[in-house]
Amino acid sequence: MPYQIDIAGHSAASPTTPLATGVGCKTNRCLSGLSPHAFSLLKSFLTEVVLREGTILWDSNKVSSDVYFPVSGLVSIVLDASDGVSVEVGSICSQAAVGALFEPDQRDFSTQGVVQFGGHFLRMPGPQLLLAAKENSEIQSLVTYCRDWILMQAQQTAACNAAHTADRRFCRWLFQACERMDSDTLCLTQEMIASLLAIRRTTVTLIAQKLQVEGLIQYRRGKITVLDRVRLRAAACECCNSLARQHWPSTRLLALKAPKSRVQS
Amino acid sequence: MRGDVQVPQYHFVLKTRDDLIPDRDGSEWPNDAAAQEEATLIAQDLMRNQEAKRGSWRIEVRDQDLLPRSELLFAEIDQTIAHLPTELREPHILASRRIAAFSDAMLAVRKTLAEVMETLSRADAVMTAVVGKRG
Repeated sequence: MPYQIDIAGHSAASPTTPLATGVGCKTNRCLSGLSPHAFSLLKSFLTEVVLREGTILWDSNKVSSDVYFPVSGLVSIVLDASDGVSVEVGSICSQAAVGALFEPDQRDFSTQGVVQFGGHFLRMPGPQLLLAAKENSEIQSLVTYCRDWILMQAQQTAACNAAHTADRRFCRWLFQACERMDSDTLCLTQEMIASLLAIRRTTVTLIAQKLQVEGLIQYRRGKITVLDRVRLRAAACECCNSLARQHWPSTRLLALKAPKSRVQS
Repeated sequence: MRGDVQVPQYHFVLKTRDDLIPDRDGSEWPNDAAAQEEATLIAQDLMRNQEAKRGSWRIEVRDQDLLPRSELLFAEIDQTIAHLPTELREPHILASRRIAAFSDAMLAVRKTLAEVMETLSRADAVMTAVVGKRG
């Protein structure tokens, strides 16, 4: 399918349109944060794809050379632990990019990239992105921020798993997913959450039941609705603060431009 | 259907100091021993990094008719005190068991109070209706 230019927040009709911000999940915020010139360097390589939940983008057996810019979906970076248990070490939504962001000799494919929430994505070859990054400082910043974001999440998740309780981690995961997906309703099963947090399915059932009784969420089969995001954040561990909005690659990109163009995040 | 082997359904009820949280969905396990093993894993999930505070929490294993089959006290499987000699671990387990019994008693009192309040509320409604008729 040919790339639909408006989906990234840049209008074909008015190439000098101010940078799109806060457009929910209808754009990839990193791409919409680029100037028209920087975006034009990537535009011809971008392809719009629709990926379903469960699609594996890469793993140790399937090396990918593509970079994905989520528009309306979410990609989980999962690490296989022993005994067939896997745990999520990061998640990427419309505020970042994921995939072949590193030079070929620096890529570590011990992880698995799996589409957790299906949706629209923009895909481009990783080598083309890295080549463009060498020519353009904005794209270089985009790549750097996206790499930082993955690293930050991995570090924070390691600390979180080691120090925090299952219920607070559950609340943190749910809060972050809502923030990143820009939605209070998420379609996911208890099995999915249990797998991401490396806990038993019944543990998720009990935690969800407790949060439901307290009025924080409403859970129905395959669908969780957050009723009170403020209280959910209070119930979550402090890792929410460390991985807050100001650390998102898209926010950092906008901040980079803010002194010149006064773009508000 | 003839020939089908029905796998037993179990429910894992969480008992904290303040709440009793049901496991409405339940899950299938081949026998009591397997269900007990699952209860241990759930307890380990829930107590990790809060072992000291959650020692009196319990997982009650119930069968498909919601009848209790066994109860697991978190303190009994606390790995952070597993290295201690029995004479040091036992008092902690005993204290946790007593706190759990106290929590059960408090929950029962709260439940009774709620029922009394509901009865009084209904009585009020009846009395108001009776007085209204006489008036």
